[in-house]
Amino acid sequence: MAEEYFIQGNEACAKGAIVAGCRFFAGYPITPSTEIAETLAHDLPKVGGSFVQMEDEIASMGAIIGASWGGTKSMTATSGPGLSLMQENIGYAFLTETPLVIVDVQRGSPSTAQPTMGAQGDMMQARWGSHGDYEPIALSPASVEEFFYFTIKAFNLAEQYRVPVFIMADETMGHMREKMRIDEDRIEIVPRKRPELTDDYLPFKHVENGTTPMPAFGDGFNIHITGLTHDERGYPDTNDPETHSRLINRLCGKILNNRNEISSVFHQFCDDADTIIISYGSPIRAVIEAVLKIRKEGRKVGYIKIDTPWPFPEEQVIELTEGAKNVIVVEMNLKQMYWEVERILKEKTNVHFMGKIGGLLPAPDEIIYEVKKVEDK
Amino acid sequence: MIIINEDLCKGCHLCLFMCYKNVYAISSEINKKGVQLPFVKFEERCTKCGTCEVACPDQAITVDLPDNWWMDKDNDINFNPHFAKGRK
Amino acid sequence: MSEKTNRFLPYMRQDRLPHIFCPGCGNGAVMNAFLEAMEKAEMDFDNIAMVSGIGCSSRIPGYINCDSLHTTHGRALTFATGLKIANKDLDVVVFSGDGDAASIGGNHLIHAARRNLNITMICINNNIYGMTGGQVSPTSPKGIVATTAPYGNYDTPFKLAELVAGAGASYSARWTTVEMENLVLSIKTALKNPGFSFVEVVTLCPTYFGRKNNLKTPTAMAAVMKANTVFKSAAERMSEKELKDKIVVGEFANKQRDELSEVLEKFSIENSGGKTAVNSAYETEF
Repeated sequence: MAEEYFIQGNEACAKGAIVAGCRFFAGYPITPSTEIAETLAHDLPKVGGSFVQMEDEIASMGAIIGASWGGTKSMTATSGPGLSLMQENIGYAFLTETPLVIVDVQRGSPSTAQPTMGAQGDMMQARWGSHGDYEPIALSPASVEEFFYFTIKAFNLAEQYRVPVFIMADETMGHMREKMRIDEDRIEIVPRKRPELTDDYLPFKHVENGTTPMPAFGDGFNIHITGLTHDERGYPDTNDPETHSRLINRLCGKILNNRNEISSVFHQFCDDADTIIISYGSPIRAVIEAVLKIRKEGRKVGYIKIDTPWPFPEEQVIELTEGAKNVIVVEMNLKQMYWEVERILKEKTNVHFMGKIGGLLPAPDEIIYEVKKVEDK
Repeated sequence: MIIINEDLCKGCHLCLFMCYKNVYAISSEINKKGVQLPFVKFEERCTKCGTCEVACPDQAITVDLPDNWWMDKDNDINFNPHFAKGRK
Repeated sequence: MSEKTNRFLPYMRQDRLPHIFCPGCGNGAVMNAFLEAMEKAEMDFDNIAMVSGIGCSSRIPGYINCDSLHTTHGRALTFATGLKIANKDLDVVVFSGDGDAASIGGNHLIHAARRNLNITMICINNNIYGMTGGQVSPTSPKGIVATTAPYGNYDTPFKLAELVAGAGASYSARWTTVEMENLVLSIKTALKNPGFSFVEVVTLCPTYFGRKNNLKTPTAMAAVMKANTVFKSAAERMSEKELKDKIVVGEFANKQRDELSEVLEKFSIENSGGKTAVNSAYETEF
């Protein structure tokens, strides 16, 4: 059974969260993500959940970590300036392996900049924003329907790997209204695993490429959760180099060693393409239009749409660009994911960059012009 | 009996300060952790108020006296006979 | 083993003792006072969840054998807010220091008091940053010497208990660690009080506060603290000059009003027809 809606991106995200089982939202108003908070403030009490407007983004992030340990799926939504405030607690969530979802509806940045204009300037903030070594998961939706499904996917990945998951949307995505089709068969929900209360239960047990089930507070496990380097029991052990390297390597390893299961791409016309355009988020809509147009002129051009910027789908991109002479990265910033593509492809092909900042999406004609410039050089 | 756990005591001597009846005294010797341990000098003054147990920051003191321990000796007195003799 | 052990030890993670607190530090005493108050209030120990930030006092939950969350600097109250709303059956207790609660977490403190969520906060005020080595804190009395105030502190300190009472907490009190009986009774009242309850405990830091300010032993500090303690009722009749360097103890707020988690539950029950979100993360159907 399928239902159709004509709906805004932010509202679709809020609906996705409720379908995925999110029952706690803490947030602070910030353009252009406020509609997610507004929709959830209205809808969460209807399903038994709670909405709290906190005093700032730092508090929002703290509250959702607390709620997650309280046994509730939780999320927050913000934009670039708010994400910067959240960074310390995001690092805490990585170290304590707390599942949660952070929606970042990106706007013109840095600083206050362009609150009502789209951009993709937080991609590296999501990757490197907090201090220390960690591996985030980030999803980048390119349509309202994808915003809905990616929100559900984000909750599932968060529960499966016990990590914070970012949804890197942008203002265009958040405020755009379009048709969304919800197909119940496409919805899959991953519940949190409940551990068994035994004497030898270790809340931070060393599992290669994975993690142990997580108890909720009040279940009788008497766990100690700390942001200090901890041993398998969860007790602080800050002076042993071995404990720290074991812990951090496991936390990074559970994402890096499963990157092929986590990451995904969508691609078209890549088999015979001379030029491949790589993009993610809303610019991909212009890229698809441009590719369809330019193929009518007889040029062999394909595109790769990256669904999960982090962890970057290295193997898929290398495989798909095999044989291509040129790769163009289209994004709404001044080179962020470009460096990631250049890092893995610079030995094999020519990597070009086409960026546009200021709030407008790149137009298909601009992309066609860029492709011609690159190919005819 | 009042027990002081030597492994836990860090020698702050707040028990001497907090005790209303001056039950404790400081020993002149230093143990292997470098702590001048307090010891129970006048156990008969103790009224089992429990202040030292709560005030000891290191959970080192255990007051293990029966309730109304003085009753055994002298059944006709229902208050501690040493109660008034604390400070001299 | 026939020998009786200390009555607070069964509540503690004994494999982690002795704790890291310096000799004479009041944190251990406050920990005892809390456990004593919990016994007196007849609370279910298994139902208690502790939250703390960063600092000496925030290490306390690590030594108590219950669910505990040791969070980032100053943010303990925000984590506690999420935890309490997600599972309102838990008795959430926040341990915090003066730098944690009043400086970096000052905004969270007044907003938690304004929201009046049913959590108990015990703020252990040692008038100094102990863990980082004796820097001046927002509650350091005027004129004291600290590593970052070598010529004397020139700032006026926060009066935390009054501040929180003014921000709308339903219970707010200040006591010291040299008067255990009052402290225990006050924490007991705070634990039973439905609403945001704040207990400020002025305590000793012989290692950093005492050493810099000519009070080198714990007993010397305790004696000065005892001499400087004034009850609220007596303080009302004293002039500002007489109250200089005095610690005013007593209850500053004790009035009930609407509690946030009850209100939120009422909203959600009215709208959802009795569905509950407690432990909903483990469910598959929504």
